[in-house]
Amino acid sequence: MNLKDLVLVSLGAINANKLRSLLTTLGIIIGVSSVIILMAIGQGAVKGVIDELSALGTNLIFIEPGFSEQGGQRGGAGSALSLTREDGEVINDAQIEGISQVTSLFDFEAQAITSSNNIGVKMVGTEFMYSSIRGLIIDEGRFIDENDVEKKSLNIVLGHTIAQKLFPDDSPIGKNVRISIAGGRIIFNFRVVGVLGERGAAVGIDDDNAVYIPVSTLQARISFIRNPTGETNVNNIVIQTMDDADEDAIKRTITQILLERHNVSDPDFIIESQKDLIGAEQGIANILSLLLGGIAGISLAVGGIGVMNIMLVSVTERTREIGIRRAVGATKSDIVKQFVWEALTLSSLGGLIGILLGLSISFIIDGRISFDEFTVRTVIQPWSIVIAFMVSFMIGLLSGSYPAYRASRLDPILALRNE
Amino acid sequence: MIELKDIEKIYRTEAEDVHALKSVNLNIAQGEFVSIMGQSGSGKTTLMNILGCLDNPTAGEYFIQKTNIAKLTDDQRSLLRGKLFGFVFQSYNLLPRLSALSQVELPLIYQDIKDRKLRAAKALDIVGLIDRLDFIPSQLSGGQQQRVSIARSLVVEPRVVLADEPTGALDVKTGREVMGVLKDLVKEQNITVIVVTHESEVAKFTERTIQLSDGEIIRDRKNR
Repeated sequence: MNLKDLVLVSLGAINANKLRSLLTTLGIIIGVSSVIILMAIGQGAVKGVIDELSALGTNLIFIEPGFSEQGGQRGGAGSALSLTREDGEVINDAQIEGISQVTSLFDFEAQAITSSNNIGVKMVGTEFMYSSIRGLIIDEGRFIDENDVEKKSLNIVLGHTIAQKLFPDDSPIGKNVRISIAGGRIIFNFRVVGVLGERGAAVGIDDDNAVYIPVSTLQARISFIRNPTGETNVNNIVIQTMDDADEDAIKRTITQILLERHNVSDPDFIIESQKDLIGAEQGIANILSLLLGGIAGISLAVGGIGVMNIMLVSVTERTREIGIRRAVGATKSDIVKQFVWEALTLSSLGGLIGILLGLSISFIIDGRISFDEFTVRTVIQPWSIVIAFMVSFMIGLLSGSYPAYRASRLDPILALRNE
Repeated sequence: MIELKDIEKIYRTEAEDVHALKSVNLNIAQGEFVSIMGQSGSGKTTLMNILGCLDNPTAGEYFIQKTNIAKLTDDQRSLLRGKLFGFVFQSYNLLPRLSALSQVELPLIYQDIKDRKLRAAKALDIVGLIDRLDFIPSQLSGGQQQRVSIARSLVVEPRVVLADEPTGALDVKTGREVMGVLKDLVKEQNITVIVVTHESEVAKFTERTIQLSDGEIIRDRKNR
């Protein structure tokens, strides 16, 4: 029996039982399409995480204060912030190979007040290079510059959302904004020199809802951010590295410098590169992706059982046909081929339809479904299509084999006598 | 052509062993038109199944053209069955979905023979159904369906056609027509035709009648 006849015979059998064939393949269709859709959502989540972290800027290393647990030079109770602006300056002055820029920032909650509005903001004290490190976009005016830092000026740059809320009708440039901190005990008047472009929510600092002032102004005006040694506490030291820099080596060098400077043996700070963060988040998202795929895989397995069930019924129903085919010269292996091929055709057709359906639905839902701030994105991985099709093919092979074996074992005489 | 030596067939069931054939010896030459007669339970269907390589004897030897059938594998027997034998059944045994032409093509599929449509059409022409090629069984009369099944048995150019009660489901007149078709095969194609029947009317068409009773040949004679 050649391939062409096999194909014709199996298509004939499928065509003769259209409704049943459709219902049988439905299990595979649903299984395959859900594998594709859920994998696409999982991969979409992975991509979302990467995009979000990349939005922070590129090639970044973050240093955050940890809590010193040993009584060092400045340890005290072991709970003080342990990172200072001077730490950043030392790192910068060390001229470590591969580092392009170093900046420190200090942020805390504050109220931004105009004559008509009063809203909560995150106030960030920073330096001019922060803008380029994070890849901030300037909508109007300019960012904090070297001059501002040097002169400890009272200039301020507004995040996109803040600017819209405080000055809904006209340009904020040149306008005055009052910043109130520590529950109104400290109030400054700032002049707006720039407005940032819209950024969207990002990991770390929400740039749209932040305002930026020179870090030196903070240092000079707000005494409580200085620790007992006279250095200025910061929340973050952000280091931008060059594209081909050895980040691990840089991290080791910085760790060494800070350990010596802080005179401690265990780090009282946390140093992480952007790649570490992406890796960790990506790991979580990949597990999510696998879990989703696994759940969909179960429905695919159920679909496979459906195919096997129908093939068994089909063998019983067509006992007589099998007898006739045997009587006119079909060998056992001809019968096996016929039924395996039929199952393969059913499951592969189901697989193909399922892939098309899965792809269409993935495209349709991409970015159209949201829960709170989380929007479902889908990313189709070519290998998920290949895997889905191969699995449905294997299911056809497996679920067709046993019924086909049963069919071939039928005694032709008994099969012919079967009414 | 066909040679049976001391063929026995015992069906073993849990309750008892049924001795369906007891020491059957038989020779049939090429081009003979033979009928096998007997009551139901006499073993005639068992004998036909063994002749057609659909079943194996429990004991004894069966030679077709000097080949010992017992020594063949299942696949070899399937191949031999397809090449040497054509089958005609009481209930036609046609596949309900296929056209007459496709029914007749079926045995050729399993032998990878070329020009299948042409050969199938020729076989249908022999049985007088050249104008019914596209009809499916439910559109054909009983006699026509039986002719399709005869055409199917002919298409492989078999040496032997085995017909199990070929007229059993037909009225007398149609039955005669079908027997006439079989008789012509013997005469014109030199095919050995073996008809199993319980009707002496049918047996009269043949040249030789073998009478079976209780698994044994009790009479074997030429007609007229």
